[in-house]
Amino acid sequence: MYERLIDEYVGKVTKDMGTGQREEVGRELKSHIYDSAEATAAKRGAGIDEAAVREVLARMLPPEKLAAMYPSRETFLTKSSVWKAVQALAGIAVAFLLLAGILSFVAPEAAEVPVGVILSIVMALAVAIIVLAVIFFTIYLYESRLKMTYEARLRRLVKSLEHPASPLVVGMAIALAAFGLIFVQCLWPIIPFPADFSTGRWVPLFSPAFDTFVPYYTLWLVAEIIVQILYLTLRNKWVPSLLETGLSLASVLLTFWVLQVFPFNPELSTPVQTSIKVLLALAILGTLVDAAKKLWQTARFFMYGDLKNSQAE
Amino acid sequence: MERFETEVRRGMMKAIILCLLEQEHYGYDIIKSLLEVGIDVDDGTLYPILRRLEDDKLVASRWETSGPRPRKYYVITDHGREIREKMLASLGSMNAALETMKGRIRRED
Repeated sequence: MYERLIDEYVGKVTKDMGTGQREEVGRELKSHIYDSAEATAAKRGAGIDEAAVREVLARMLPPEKLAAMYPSRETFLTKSSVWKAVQALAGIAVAFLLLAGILSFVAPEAAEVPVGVILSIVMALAVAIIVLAVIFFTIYLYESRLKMTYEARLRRLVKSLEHPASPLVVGMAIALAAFGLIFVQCLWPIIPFPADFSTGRWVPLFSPAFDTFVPYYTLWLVAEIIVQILYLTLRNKWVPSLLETGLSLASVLLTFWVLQVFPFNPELSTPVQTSIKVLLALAILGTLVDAAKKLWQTARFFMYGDLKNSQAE
Repeated sequence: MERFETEVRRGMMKAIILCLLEQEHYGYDIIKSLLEVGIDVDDGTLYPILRRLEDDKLVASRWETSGPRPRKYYVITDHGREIREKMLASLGSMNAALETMKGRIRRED
């Protein structure tokens, strides 16, 4: 009967470990529990029994806490969300390619147009994968220059990616805003886009009406850079966090205005225009969620001075 | 205060275990030896520390299966000895600094 208690405890400790580690840790913990229970029972002049095992298990840390104390076997690749995104995109690309292959095989004469669309989607996914891979390796190289253990480096990286005031996040946000400024100042008139999904004809994405939005986006991006700098310079992080919440709401209004005016090339086909409208609506929704998260983050900065849930952390 | 104690204890524990593992010991045996020198380790928490020491190549291990139950024996490595000396030197200098500071506080009182 007490074997089940031991197995349950050990199973909970080792459940998230890799096969090798699970076996080794499980074996060692069981050995410890038996040794400890034997000593406990011996004090009463008895052999190991359920009461002794229960006493030992009660003395031990909760299994989840003990499991958390073991060194993680996670690698940079398994932990990184950027890498997970690359994997997901690669999976989608392979699925599309399979679909294109099946279509070409089943109905070669009717498949030309859908296969063309699929191939352009796959190409877009490939570009996204390349961009993400570049970001991934840049971050990894940045962290690799530090003389720390692999595990400490991983923890440090994940922690800095989660903290809005970390130099890494601030640097990335400023770089993105700088790219945004280049886009709204120079690039938007020449951004090409497929006029429709079937002919493969490319036209400029925006109409001249987008010019109206340029000063507003410029202002927004400059404000974003200032807010990011405030994260580094101000001691009270809730101030830039609150400003960032305001910027998110301003972004919602700006995107809503773009959706209303729709400053896109009228030569774009109806399905393409509809897709853009859906994307803009999703962007509004996503930014609203982001604003709510930032408001919560502001409250935590205000209450605890940092992103902590309590003083005990 | 609890957090301070945990942090100090974690660092000290590694140094003490490395001292103890000059001779081969298994987990439960280490806990008993620590208890003898006045260090009470929470049941089970020693093993993650040993695992980390092993990952850092400061200790080596082997399984002994001839007894009543399988036991994993640990012993310090040459690299572990080097690190232990550095740890002890660091702890010694910290202790000396602490004693100096305590002396100053007493004189001011």
